[in-house]
Amino acid sequence: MSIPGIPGIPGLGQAPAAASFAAPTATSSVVLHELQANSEWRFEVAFGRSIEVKLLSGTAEIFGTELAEKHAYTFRGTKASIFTWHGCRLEVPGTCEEYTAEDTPMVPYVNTHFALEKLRDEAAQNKGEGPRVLVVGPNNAGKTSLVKILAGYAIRMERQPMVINTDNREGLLSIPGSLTATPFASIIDVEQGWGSSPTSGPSPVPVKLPLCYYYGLPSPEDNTKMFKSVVTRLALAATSRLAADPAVKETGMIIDTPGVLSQGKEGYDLISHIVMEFSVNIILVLGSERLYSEMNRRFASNTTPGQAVTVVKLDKSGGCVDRDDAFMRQTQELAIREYFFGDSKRTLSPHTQNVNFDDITIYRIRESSSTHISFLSGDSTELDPSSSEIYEKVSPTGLLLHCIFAVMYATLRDTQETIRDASVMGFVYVAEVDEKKRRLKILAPLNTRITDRPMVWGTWPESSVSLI
Amino acid sequence: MNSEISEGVAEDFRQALLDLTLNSRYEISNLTVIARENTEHAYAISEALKTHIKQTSSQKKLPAFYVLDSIVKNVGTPYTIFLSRGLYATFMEAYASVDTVVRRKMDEMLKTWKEPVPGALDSRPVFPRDVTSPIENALIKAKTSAVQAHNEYLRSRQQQQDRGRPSASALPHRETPTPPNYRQQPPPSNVPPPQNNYRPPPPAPMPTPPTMYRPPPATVLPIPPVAYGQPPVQPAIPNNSNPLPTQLPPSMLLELLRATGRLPAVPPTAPPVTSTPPFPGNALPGFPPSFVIPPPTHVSTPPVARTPPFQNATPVPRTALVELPNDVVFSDPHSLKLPRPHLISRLYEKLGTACTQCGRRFQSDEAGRKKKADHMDWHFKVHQRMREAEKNGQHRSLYDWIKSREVEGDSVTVPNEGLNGSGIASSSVDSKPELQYLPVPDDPALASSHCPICQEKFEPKWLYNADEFVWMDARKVGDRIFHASCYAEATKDLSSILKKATPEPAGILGKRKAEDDQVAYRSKIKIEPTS
Repeated sequence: MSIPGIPGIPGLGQAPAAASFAAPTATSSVVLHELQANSEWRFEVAFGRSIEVKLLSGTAEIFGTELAEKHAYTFRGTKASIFTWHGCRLEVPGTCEEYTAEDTPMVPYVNTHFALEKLRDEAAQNKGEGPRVLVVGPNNAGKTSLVKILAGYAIRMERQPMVINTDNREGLLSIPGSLTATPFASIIDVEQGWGSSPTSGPSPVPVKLPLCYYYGLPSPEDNTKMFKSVVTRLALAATSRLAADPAVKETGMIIDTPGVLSQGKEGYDLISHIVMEFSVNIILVLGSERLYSEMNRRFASNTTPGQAVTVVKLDKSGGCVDRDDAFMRQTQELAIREYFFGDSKRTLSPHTQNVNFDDITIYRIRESSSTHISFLSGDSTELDPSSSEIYEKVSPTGLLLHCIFAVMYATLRDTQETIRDASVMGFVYVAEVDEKKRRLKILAPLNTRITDRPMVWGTWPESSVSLI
Repeated sequence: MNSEISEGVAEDFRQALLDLTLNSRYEISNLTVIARENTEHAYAISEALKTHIKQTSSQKKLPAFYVLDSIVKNVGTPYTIFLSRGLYATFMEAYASVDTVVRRKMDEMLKTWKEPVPGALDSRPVFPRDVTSPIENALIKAKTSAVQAHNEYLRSRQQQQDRGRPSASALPHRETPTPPNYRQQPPPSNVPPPQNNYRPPPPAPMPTPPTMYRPPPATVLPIPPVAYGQPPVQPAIPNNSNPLPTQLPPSMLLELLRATGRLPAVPPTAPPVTSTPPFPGNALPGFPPSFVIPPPTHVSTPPVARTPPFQNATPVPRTALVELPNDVVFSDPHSLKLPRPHLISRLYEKLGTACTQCGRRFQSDEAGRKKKADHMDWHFKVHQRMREAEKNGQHRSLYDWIKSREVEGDSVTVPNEGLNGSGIASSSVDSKPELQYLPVPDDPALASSHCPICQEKFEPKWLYNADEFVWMDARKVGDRIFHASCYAEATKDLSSILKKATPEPAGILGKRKAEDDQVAYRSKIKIEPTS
């Protein structure tokens, strides 16, 4: 059964109502932006609002993906930029925060792409592997944008890049907290970040299929051990996929990272771990001299053939804006809404079910593995100590309200380690907790039995406001 | 109207020229790009360039001439017209003030002006002959007199004979070709070839704010300075002439696309292929309105009207210029900062024309057009299926994965199995082997089931045409799911054809042709196993 009341508005609860309300006044003023060659139109659309952008003439691209002429693109709740190599005219009905910039780092970015293309050509010739590119840099340096630009360019040249997201703060085709690997074989849906993961229905822009793992904590440093294990798992899955798919293999990987890794020793160690697990051979350092020298120190000295790592410094774009916590929170919430209810292009009907407290198996991620290990080290259980420390089995309480669980591809008999290493089947949301009747009302993407799967409860994404 | 802007641009250009001290390809191509982007100020820029050549010191004259050379070869009209005016004076004055090494370079350059642009398909010379011949004649004269000055006494009589008939032997140091008068070239007043009729104006010509294009000092650039043999890089002009209005109803769109798929190729006589979309609409003189990039306001171009024959004097087919290699390397930090317009074209016009719906580009060759037609079909079908899906309700699929593939539904590999979405074997006895598949059951218990016969798990695969995960070669019999091939083998109630039809799914998806779209389409209606 689907949720009544939602369908009229595509999946976005109250917010779009404001947008459609604002629309009539907006249409009154159509703004024409004339962009010179090599300039960029940067804009911000508040949550709950939308703008339509139409390319009238010339060429334009948004994060590496070319815009079709005369096609209205709708953007909502985003901060983005449209760049032109040749000059263009954009028609934008309504107003938003915007300005045009002529100083952009697009030349080094596109050159980076072409340098990668050369490596890919070589890989194709020698039946070898394409470059494995890691993008590092502080928060709000434009890492994800760069990853998207490089992926977009590669896709345009009929490559199939594997895009890896190790940034737990933002999801890629999934909700925040998940780490994903996604081979991109077709155009990125520019209107919605990275596009949509598969639904039961058709999609105007081809959907992408992520391999999804779950690390449900706010920062990789909250539980480095778990983060490392999940990264290892993700690398394994991605590498095996690479081996089986020649087109992806010769294109290689582009790996996004959380900005927090660029801030200190602990983070650097995690970067080293990612470099190792993914056999990264090119590191793009965005907007941080210190990180660049650190990366050089760590990796550039290794000249062993096959393991050599090239460290490249790139400038941060002047268009990068700080996204405050409120913005991040809203992005997060939107990602969760979209997962269940779809977006403006397609309305999804999630499924609710009532589950008894006793029928459900919930594991809570431990924040810091180390303290618990020392605490429990005297415990003489037969269990592998490392395996029992990952999660804490919890009984449902009122605290679960509005929380997200990851439903794992594992069975209830599996060890915690197996559960951690399993990929995610889907996410569910706790809509109601009735402690008296000991029942949970759970929102799942579709009608499927969830009680025979272990569910992982993390503190990230944070419990959001009521979705329904 | 914008003479002020023109002045600004010209001043900017002049400033940039002042910085040009070396023969740096980078700076020259940069200036060329500026010229290209400001064709509406061509007059002012041309004047600035001429003045600069006149005024600059003799060491800087050659680089300045190379700018002129680059502009006329890569941008062409209207610069050719403006720069040809007074070219004689400009050239001769400079020639008089430079040393022999530079003179030789200028000779070489002049020689190329009498020829078509290298690699270009247009056979007319860079500058019309009536511009170059006076210079050439004067040079011959001058050289002859120079030689004469040396050997005045000895050669005085011979010089008289040679005067009207200069020969290479008289000028041993000059590798000049035959003077143009003897060449069998069409006069410049030729009607321009038809493909030049719609040479698009440069994109979005807009005033350049001063100082924007100040090139970095040449010293930081790793380009060997003398490498100016080739025409410099050229940013190709965007080519967004999409002949298909997006507002067409899908059915018409489809019709149109199908029709165009069968249309003959653009005649081979239209070589600037990149600017020639494969649709006939564009071959017509009145190109669609979408093509009209903001018309440059030619305010200061009266000479154009007076000299119509030169209108297309030097069209530069982009094919002549895009073959510059991809020389970006990570090892050199400067390499990453160098603008390379010729590489940008690999992301745009070299990829062909764009789909009006999503902007994806397709080559203009046979295969590309076929791909595009299939692609548009796919758009059309998706739109139709979306309307359908709205009614039925949709939901997010479970993540399912490692084995699943995104199959490009819009490529020629569109699978078009006789889709029996419900899992009931198709009753049609086709001559073609039928592919059987089942949507992956939503119920995870069922989804992890094994084929009862071979005990193997079913491998989920993303089937584009069906827009869902499927198990290829799967068949539901009663409550149980079998591999169709296993079932056939076990029960022997299906023809051996079916058995043959179950190779690795990848092979099937890779090979089939999208001929019986109708079948594929009919079976597109989704069946929800559980709901």
